[in-house]
Amino acid sequence: MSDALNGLVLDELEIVTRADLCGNGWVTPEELDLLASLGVIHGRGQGYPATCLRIVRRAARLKRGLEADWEAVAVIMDLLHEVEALKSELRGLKARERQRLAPGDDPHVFPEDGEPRD
Amino acid sequence: MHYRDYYRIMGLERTASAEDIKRAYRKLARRYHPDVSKEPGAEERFKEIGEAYEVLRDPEKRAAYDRLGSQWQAEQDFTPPPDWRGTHGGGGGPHIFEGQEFSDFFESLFGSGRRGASARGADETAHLTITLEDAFHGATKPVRLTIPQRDAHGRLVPEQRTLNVRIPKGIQQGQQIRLAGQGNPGRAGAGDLYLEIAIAPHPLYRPDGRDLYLTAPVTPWEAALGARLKVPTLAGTVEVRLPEGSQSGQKLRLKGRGMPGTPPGDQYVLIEIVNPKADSEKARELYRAMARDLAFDPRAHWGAA
Repeated sequence: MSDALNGLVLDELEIVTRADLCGNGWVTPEELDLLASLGVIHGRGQGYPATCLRIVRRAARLKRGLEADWEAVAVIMDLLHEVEALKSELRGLKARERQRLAPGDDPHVFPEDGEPRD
Repeated sequence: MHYRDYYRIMGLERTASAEDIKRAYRKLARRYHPDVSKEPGAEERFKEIGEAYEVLRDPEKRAAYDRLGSQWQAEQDFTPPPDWRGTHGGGGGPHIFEGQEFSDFFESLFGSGRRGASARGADETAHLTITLEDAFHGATKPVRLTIPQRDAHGRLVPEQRTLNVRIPKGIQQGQQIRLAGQGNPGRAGAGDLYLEIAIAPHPLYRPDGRDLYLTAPVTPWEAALGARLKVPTLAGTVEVRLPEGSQSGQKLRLKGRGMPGTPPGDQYVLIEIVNPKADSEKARELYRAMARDLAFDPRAHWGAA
């Protein structure tokens, strides 16, 4: 097997340049500026957080695939972001629920004596 | 090579108008675009739709495709007619998915659809599920990929590849690692590989960002009187002082004991008081003694209900 490959972790700490974001043909420098003006990406100093690589790639895929304009792409990206945040929260809540319950327990089943009565 | 029925792929009659084709594409794109779709196999389906649209939206390509006739069945073995004169006009329209490769069928009729700047290989996304321990300590993991390569005849053939990828410590659920040049090959260089990390659910710890949550079951007397608990962390067991008078739902914070990072996360120990079963006369007597001797009403704040 080959030597281990090191990649770039796309997180907020790593910084990439405009050239990194435009160099793979997803967007032109003008489109990148438009995405920034629409609030889809936010620059940091002279560059952008590496998470923007993922955002720009996704925005370009949505634009091409859905034949949408950049303004619509910005709305879709916002909504997708919100859906993902909610899914992540739900995953956390489910994991919490799983931990809280011993196997076989079901929170929705009341013991007979505890059944709410009118 | 197999014949592709582009009309069937797009759910269209052969008589469909340009407007019908556009409408069908938009409808299918909304359903199968991998960034918004929940359908299984959406990416493959979307590429197929993209290729069909590439042909049917272009009057020249569509006319050439129609000249093949309507007697062909989807997936039927296909060789272009000997006198085939397709169109090799521009390909890789704006909707084409990250410089995707077209099928052999498409290329036999229209040549490679990719032109100019888009001749860089397509980027690829792969998914890797790791354990929380791997995410904490960092690890080197094999990633198996199927990447299409061109054989000696220029045909696309799937090739299995295994990459050994270093996973840095502190990686989080859903984060991506970009491996430059490890995507699909292309005339102007290979695309990149985006490796998306998932962390398998852990039986003990629940991650929330860089923080970890662990539920610690404790006895009523440990909670009431205080205790020293041996608590597992991903870096090993630590001793934690449980203050007297602790209650279920309270949290103890172990600063910096969460996932590595700048700054590192914390580990929270969630206290959960577990009552011993009253399954013997001795146990029941102890509970009765508590009921007698401890003037305790946890529902006092309800008032006289």
